[in-house]
Amino acid sequence: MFPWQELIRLSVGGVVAAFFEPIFWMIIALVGFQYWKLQKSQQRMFGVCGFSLTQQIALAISLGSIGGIVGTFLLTLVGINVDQLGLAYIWPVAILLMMVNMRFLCFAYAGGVVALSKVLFGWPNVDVSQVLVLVAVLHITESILIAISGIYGSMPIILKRKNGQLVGAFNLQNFWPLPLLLMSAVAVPELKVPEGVLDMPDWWPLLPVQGVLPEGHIWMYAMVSVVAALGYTDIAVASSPQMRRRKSALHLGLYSIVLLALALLSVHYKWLQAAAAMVSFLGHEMLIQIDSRQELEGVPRYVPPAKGLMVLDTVVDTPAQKAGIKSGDILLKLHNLTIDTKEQLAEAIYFAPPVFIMEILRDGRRMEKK
Amino acid sequence: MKFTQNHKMLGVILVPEGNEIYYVQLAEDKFWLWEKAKGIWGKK
Repeated sequence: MFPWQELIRLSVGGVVAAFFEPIFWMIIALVGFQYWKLQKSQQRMFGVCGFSLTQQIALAISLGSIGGIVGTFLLTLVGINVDQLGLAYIWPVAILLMMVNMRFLCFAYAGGVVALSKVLFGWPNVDVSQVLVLVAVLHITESILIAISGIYGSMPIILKRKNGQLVGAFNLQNFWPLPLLLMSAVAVPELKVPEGVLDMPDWWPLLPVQGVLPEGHIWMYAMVSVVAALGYTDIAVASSPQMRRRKSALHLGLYSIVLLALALLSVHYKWLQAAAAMVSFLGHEMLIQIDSRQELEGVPRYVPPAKGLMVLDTVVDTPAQKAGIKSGDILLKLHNLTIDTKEQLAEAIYFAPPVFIMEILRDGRRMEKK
Repeated sequence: MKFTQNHKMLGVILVPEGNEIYYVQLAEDKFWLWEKAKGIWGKK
């Protein structure tokens, strides 16, 4: 029987252990720097920040830890072997591709290119299926993190469309540290297997170790702690940030599952390897292109309504946020004064008493905020 | 709803109206500033 409980305990333990690794805190510093840059940019544009930097980093660590547990669980379940991933090739390719465009830093491109090179030219010495499974699992993890991130990491922006129209939009950016445990296979004499080793069922691993096993030996796996980082960048013009995230997470999840299935099948059907490698980078790029086009060319969501003023976003710790006014709400009346222009809003605020009622329109429904 | 004690700030960022040029300038700083007294965006 498969040791599910031990595997879950191992995944959680691996994430906790990562907190004691210096590299984990280096990655946190890097993630923190990205959020700091975003915060500065928001402050420059709007004079105010969203979440505090500490809040954002704490949330990134919490969500990244959840991602690490999920990632470690899936990678161990399929039986990935860090020695056959060719990370020494994938990283330099990723950095080279990043110079063309920042989004190419994603392993979907570098992993796919390295895997395709192995299929076509027999170089470098990597296990194509394992590389592609790693890409798929990282993207499954990312899709889960995107889905559970909510509004965190959404920055309001003003966007100029191709036709010159200015619309409200959201720049969505998230970064997460990803503490993982990867396995490394070693051949040990059958008679010298140490105690406390987990006994795995016959069907495991789904990704067999490439290499010759000396007679009288068995493969044993040691766990290696690795800290990675995941990033998500997107834009919400036709959808709300939450809708956009849900859609991206769903599409990325589907892409990852197709890639995972192809990668696992390619263990037994080698002819699938080239197709799986191409799905890795072409599929990812197609997904980004189609999703971005739909978002940028769709009907913009944050445009001035026929009556009232539409809220693009509220500022943290202000009366609007405390009263529950949300992005997309239309302000109709403030203390019984109709507000159709910014000037009317300024005037209404000027004459309003310290305590007042605001009439708004949300999803076609009128309501009062007291 | 209640204004903060010191100034009447509402705390909303509004969607841009039409093709007003000042919104393009937002990223360049100092053109539009948050007017804490009024609680809305205002031209400097």
